Amino acid sequence: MGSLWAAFCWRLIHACLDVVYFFSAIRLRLLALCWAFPFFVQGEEACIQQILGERKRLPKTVAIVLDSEEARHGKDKVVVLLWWLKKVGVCHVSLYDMEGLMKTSQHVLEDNYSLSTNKAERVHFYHHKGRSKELIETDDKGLSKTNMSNLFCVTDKTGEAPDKHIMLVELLSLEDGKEAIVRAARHLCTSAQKMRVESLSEADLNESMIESGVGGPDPDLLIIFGAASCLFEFPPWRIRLTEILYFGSLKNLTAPSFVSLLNDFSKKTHRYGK
Amino acid sequence: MAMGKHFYYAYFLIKRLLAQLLASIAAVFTRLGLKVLASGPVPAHIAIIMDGNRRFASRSRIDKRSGHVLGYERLIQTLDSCLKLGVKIVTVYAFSIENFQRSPAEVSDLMELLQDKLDHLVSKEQLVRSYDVQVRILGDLSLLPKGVRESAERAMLATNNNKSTVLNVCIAYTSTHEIVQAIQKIMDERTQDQPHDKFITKEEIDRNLYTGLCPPPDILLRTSGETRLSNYLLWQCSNSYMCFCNALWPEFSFWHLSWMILKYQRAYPFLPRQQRPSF
Repeated sequence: MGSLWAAFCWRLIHACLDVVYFFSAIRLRLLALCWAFPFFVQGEEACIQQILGERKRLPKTVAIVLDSEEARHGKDKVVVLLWWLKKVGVCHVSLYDMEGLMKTSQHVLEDNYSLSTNKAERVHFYHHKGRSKELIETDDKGLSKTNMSNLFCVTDKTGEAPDKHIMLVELLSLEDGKEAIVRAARHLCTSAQKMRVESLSEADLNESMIESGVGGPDPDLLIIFGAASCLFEFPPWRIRLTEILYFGSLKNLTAPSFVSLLNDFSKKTHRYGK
Repeated sequence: MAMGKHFYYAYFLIKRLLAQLLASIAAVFTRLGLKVLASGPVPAHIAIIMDGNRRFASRSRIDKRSGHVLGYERLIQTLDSCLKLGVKIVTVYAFSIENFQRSPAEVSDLMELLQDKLDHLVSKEQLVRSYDVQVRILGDLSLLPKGVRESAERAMLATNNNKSTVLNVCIAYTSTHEIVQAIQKIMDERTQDQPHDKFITKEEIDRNLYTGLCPPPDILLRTSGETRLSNYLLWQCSNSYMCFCNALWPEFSFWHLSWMILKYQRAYPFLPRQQRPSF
């Protein structure tokens, strides 16, 4: 009898929560639809310019984690998000989904990006192909095969305006996560065995990951889009100190909500253990 | 004069009785609340980053050590609620390898407190006996002072035969260090002639991590509003539900815990199904 009442109360509490979240979802969807009108394009620009003008701490490297639904149906919105990230000065984006739908749709993303923004030469999409430590060439606009580390944050070296730099978009999937660490560990142990090294360190594994072609920058900010706040096996080695923010559905992403994410990021402080 | 004294005693007696009554009502509501929550999916393993003790101390104008003591008491209360709910494993982040960068006085204070509380946990805490809790200390114990290391070993030995529930306490721990030590262990177990690389698999690394045969956490909770993993259980929390709570750890109450469980139950159908070694 007691457990029947408990189950009833549980269903009642969850039903109330469902109602609250339902109305909240309607509100967010209506807002997103409003912002989709051409009338609001200038408003989008104004939002982005405002946050740039405020000189807040903004991320240079961002990771985007999409669940399967978002990866399947949200490619258009992903392209818009990449454009906004470029506007605010992000140099490197890691776009991840478990099943590798972003990887297989690389050309779709490239075409959609160049159609919608007319500035394709400033964004370079790539993904890892296992053992090579060089980038995979996907266009011939001057980005020849070169080491990863030379391409991060070109703005810092040239001093150009934020949206003039080249933004790299790295496409990741499940095989770039724990499996990549396993590949790097095998490579490390084989070289340690050959050189008779007995003790391994974190720096050795880092080096081995770059040698095996699975290294990448640690993102400053990781945004999760989907029905649940979960990393879906995003490469774990890279997210030691990454700020993780859960947004919800990509369909509800608007310029003000994107700016609100960046505002949340700018308020975070790191103590690094101290 | 005598009337005043009687009035004074009566006032304090009534105040004490009221406090006891409120505490009993709160305990009844907590039990009922946990029974209601247990009607839905209950996480088998919760990982907690207990952040915010020092900020709580500075906000309440007490010293940092008292903040950590309140943090320990909050841990016991939260552990009690979790075990009543039906959670089998709780893993907490007590001290990171990076925390050694703090001032020597603070580190020494923390070490003394850890030693004291580890001994207290195993010898005096009722809940270790009531819930048959196995206490495991995870981390590089060689980095700890002798006293803390011995307390940790005593705690693990004293509760080694407890098999119902597990409390993992991460001390001198970082996840990247843990992954490298797992790879090192796999490498050391092979002989010179055997090629190391074939033996390194995801499952082998899982087995050789400090968390060993524990199933991966279902929920990762961090208090105090921070939204980072800070090098905690990076490998194990790949598919966990991430819950970031704004309350400082000493303020984390039954209501915060209930809200976390309700959110987890709402997200449950959308979370990846994790492989569960039997526990």
